[in-house]
Amino acid sequence: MGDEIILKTENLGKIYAEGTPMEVHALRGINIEIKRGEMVAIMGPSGCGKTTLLNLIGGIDKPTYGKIIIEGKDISTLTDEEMTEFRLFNIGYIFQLFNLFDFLTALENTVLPLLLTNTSRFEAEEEAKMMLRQMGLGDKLNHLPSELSGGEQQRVAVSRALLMNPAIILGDEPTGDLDEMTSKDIMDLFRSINENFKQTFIVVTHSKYIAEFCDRTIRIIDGQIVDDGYGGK
Amino acid sequence: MDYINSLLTKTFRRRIGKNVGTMIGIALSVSLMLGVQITITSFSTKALGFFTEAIGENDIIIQNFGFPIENYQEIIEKIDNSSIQYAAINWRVSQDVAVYNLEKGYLEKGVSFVGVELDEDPIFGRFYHPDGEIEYTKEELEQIFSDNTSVLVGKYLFDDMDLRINQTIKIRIGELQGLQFNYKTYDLKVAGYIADKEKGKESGGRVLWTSIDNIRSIIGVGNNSVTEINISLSSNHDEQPVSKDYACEVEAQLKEILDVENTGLLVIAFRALVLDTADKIIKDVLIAFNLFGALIIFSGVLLLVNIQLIQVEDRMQQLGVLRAIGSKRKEIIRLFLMESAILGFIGSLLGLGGGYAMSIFLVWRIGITFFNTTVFLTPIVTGSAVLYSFIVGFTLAIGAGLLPAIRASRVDPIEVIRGIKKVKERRMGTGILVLGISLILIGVSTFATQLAVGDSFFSIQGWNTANEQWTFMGAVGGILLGLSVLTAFLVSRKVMGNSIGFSLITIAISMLLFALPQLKDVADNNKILITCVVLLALGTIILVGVNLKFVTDLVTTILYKTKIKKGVSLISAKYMTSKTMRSTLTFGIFTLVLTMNIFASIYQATFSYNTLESVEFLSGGASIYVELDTPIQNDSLVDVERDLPKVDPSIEYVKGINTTISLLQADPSAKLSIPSEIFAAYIQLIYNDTFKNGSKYVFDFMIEQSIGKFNEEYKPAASEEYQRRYSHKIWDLFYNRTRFNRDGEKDPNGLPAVISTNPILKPGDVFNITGLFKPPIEVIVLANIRQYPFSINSGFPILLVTPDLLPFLSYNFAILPKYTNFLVKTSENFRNGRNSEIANKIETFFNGNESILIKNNDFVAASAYNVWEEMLEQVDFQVRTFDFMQIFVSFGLVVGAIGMIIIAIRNVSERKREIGMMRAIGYKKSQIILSISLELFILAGLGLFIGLINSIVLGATFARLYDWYLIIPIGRVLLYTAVMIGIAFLASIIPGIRSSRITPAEALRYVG
Ligand SMILES: Nc1ncnc2c1ncn2[C@@H]1O[C@H](COP(=O)(O)OP(=O)(O)OP(=O)(O)O)[C@@H](O)[C@H]1O
Ligand SMILES: [Mg+2]
Repeated sequence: MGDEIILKTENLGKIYAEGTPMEVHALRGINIEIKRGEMVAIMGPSGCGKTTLLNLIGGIDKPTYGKIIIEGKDISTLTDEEMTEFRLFNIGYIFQLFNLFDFLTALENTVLPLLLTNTSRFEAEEEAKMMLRQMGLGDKLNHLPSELSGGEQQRVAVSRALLMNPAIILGDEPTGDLDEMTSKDIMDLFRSINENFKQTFIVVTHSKYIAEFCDRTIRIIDGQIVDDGYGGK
Repeated sequence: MDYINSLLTKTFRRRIGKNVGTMIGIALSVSLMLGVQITITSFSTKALGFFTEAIGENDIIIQNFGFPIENYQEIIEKIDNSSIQYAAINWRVSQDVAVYNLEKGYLEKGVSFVGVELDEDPIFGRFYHPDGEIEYTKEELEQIFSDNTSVLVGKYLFDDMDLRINQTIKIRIGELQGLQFNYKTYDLKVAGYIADKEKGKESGGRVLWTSIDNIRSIIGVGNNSVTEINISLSSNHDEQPVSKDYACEVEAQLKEILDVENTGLLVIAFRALVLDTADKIIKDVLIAFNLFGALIIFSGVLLLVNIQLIQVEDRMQQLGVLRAIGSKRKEIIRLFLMESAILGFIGSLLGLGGGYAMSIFLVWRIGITFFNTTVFLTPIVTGSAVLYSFIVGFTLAIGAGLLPAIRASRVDPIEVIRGIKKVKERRMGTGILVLGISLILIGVSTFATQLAVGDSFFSIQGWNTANEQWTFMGAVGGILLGLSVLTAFLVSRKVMGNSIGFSLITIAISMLLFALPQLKDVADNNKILITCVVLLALGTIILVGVNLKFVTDLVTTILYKTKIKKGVSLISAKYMTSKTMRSTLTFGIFTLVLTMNIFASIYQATFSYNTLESVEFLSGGASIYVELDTPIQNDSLVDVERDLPKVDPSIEYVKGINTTISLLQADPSAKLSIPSEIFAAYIQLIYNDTFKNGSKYVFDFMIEQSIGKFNEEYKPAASEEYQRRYSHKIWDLFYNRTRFNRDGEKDPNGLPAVISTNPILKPGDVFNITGLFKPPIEVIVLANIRQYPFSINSGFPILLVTPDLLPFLSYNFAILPKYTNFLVKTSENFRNGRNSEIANKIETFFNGNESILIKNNDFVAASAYNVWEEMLEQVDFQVRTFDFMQIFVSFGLVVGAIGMIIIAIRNVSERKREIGMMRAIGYKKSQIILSISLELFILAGLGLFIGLINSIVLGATFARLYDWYLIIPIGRVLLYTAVMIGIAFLASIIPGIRSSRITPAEALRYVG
């Protein structure tokens, strides 16, 4: 694990519905630094702003104030177009629920990001197949999400997130809907990927058990970091 | 109760955006349904009104064919003593005359000169002073008509001929001497004119009125004689209409009372006959209306079902939640039904308004297109049309509310909430097996009974009635659909879908190709036709719908070869197949709309081209046709055949034809498709050399169809040379007075042959020609010709007969050999030559003030027609009709497009979360727009492609139906396709752009 800072936020804040009676100050001046290859858990009570933070880091939402610097680049200055392109190559996303397109098979769901590049279809599919096989889904390539278990669905989502070999993988309660056994499988998977490929993981979770798989846990309450420490492993 | 009610209002308010979309969708499709029906009703009512206006309240006419009815008082007495209840009865003496205004040089042909009893029942109309308010009193009329040359003129005629009061006009009138008319010129004085105030006395305003005594003295008819007796069965047909059946019943009763077999009187339920004829005339336009109307309504229904399906799927989520929190099924059904009912009710109501608005516009266009009027025509709204549209709209809306509730009883709430659909291939039950087998049995037994019956569709002429064709279609349909249904039991539903699709297409195309041409002249083929078109459209839509996956795989493969990012192609293609039903409905609408538009333009182009192309060929070489209203009395003045060539150097050849009107009586055993068993026809006498000069045909009319074995030799699509040779053979049979038996074989003891120019009298038809005071003679139709010059100005069928039938014809032939009709051949180019100018010169030759005939008081009113110009006018009417149809179907198009956009936007909100996910993965905004638009665009493109093929197939079969050369107007086809592509583009880009506005963070939070 090098010491290179891959992600840094400076006084990051988000106010929803600013200037209206419904105004919510979801994040209030977040400062974090994450090193390449780090595996970080974000915890905190419901509504504290975890998802908001993840969305800002992933560039699918814009901060109200503050900066996000990824690989030395201030992504808050990027245009929507540039940000999308950046996301495609540098960030993998995994959500808690409904991660997959229910009309696409496991293979198709996985291969999507590669199909947005100039890779040939054959190559793209080969890569996706390889990824799915690694996830133990080699025999489920042509199953629709409705024909997969919850854990299998999440593994497909992980495959897709990993396919582009992104520097950062964001997971918003990626195991929140799974039982403990399956959650452990997924986290083990993350761990081994993290160790083998040096990817950076930022995982939102409610569960201490999950957080223990990570190098570091950031706690947020009411939009502010209250604790940032290296626990777990 | 309170809980449900508050839930109802809350969900309804929350879903207001979606509900408005659904409501507009319902409203649009109801508009289409109603608008189409109002438009069609208004057109036919207006068209019929056009015909009945001139008749007034008259129902039945008793005539002696222009000759006096003797002792008419006895007839009136007999009618009074019978059980016939009439509203009014009158008797008149009248004759059609030509009127000359020599001061201004105007001539008007075909004017009725009518003598009435001055106390005639006002039901038959009143005389109004020019101010249109005050009636002429009986004393005034007596005063005017005390001078037996004084007449009152209809306002229309007065204005048209630029008459002035007290001026003298000349008429040409037949004076009865014995049983023969002598034509003489007679001077009349214009005493005044009568206002065009109400129907009845007016009859189009082209009338000269006098008293019955005056006209009797002018044409030499005794005091006990009249020429017509009119009976009105209702004093106001608008308020108390008289049914056709009743009028015909009275007609039959009168025939018996008056002993027409022996007296030779003509009794006609005139009004019923006119309405019948009008029906036939507007039938052509109505076919097109109904055809396109059916398709428009069909696309309206597709739209409705589509939008309701979205509504259904949209609510599944809510349903699951409601069930999970413990709502009772009954409550849920109530909740959803209430919402659907409200939507359906408001939507359908709005639709009624929209439909009315649509029809206002269309009916206004109808006025311009068909009745040359810019006067605002009011759309005619019938209760049944409103009810039909409302019920269909409302029922489908309610059905859509019921469906999720019913589905809810089957699904596990958890599944619904989690959005996981368990794909269950449901087995087809034994019900389907029974259905399949019974369908097959019905089909087979129909065939079996047909085998047993003699005159079935298995016999050689077995295709020629509509009933047989329906039976055949039903039988084949039963077997094919039965087999298809069975495959669902035996193989799979997909195979069933395929075979149903194929069956429908096969039935439609083979009916169009093989069956319909057999009854090309039968009136009711339009229903079969419409059915075929709908079947074809339905079949193709089902076929593509069932194989949508295959089709989209194909499309995806093609898309992968383009520059479009594969991730975009994959999403759009797969999304299409995931919603098969909705995708099918979407492209179905496009299929229908394009089928209508392109078919209409192909039909129009093909029709005009073929009609015009064939005019010269079928004109038989006669570029001008001349009609005289009466024969020239003093033939030492003018011999038309000899003198007409002097009128213009381009006139090469003139041939006269004797014409009379006669009565035809159908043999009750022969099933002729004519409205009444007795009807009038023009008879044209054809001598051996009428069309020939030596052995050379100067006028060469083509035979279209002919009797018995000769017909088998006829090849419609053969070369012109072949058709000439074939026609000459038939003409020679005719000239040689060849007789035929009822089977159409030559037989010296058979029936004399006549040639028909009207499709209702077909080769092989046998009927009587009844002469006045003569025994009827039975004749057989040898052949049918389409001869443009003859058919120019006549509503009656025209028969060509040889002169040996003369003794059996009516008395007018006593004036033989005086010609009244002439064929003129000129050296001018048929299309671009000076034929119109020459025709004018010919009219001046007869009618001009300098005419020798006029100078010698031998007034003959002549009309000369340039055949080409006349045909252009007829074709122009058709072209205008189809232009109107384009406007008509454009409503389907516009509404379809709006519907598409609504559906697509609903689709987008439904897919919000997916769009968020795509953005998170790394789809750019432009790629999101593209994948949403592409999906719709492909569907639309698919629809357009199938629509294009459908319409070409339809156009081709139509061309075949009429032996036409198929013309595909590339320009128009491209135009419509481009317009449709434009609409498809709009309909797909709007939701695309809308979707790209969704911010990913917002979308990802969205769960339904
Ligand atoms: N689009 C929005 N408009 C207004 N307020 C919002 C919006 N999105 C989130 N919020 C508010 O911002 C706050 C933070 O929300 P966020 O989703 O980040 O919480 P979270 O920590 O992820 O909670 P959970 O653990 O329940 O997922 C919440 O109070 C939420 O109500
Ligand atoms: Mg959250």
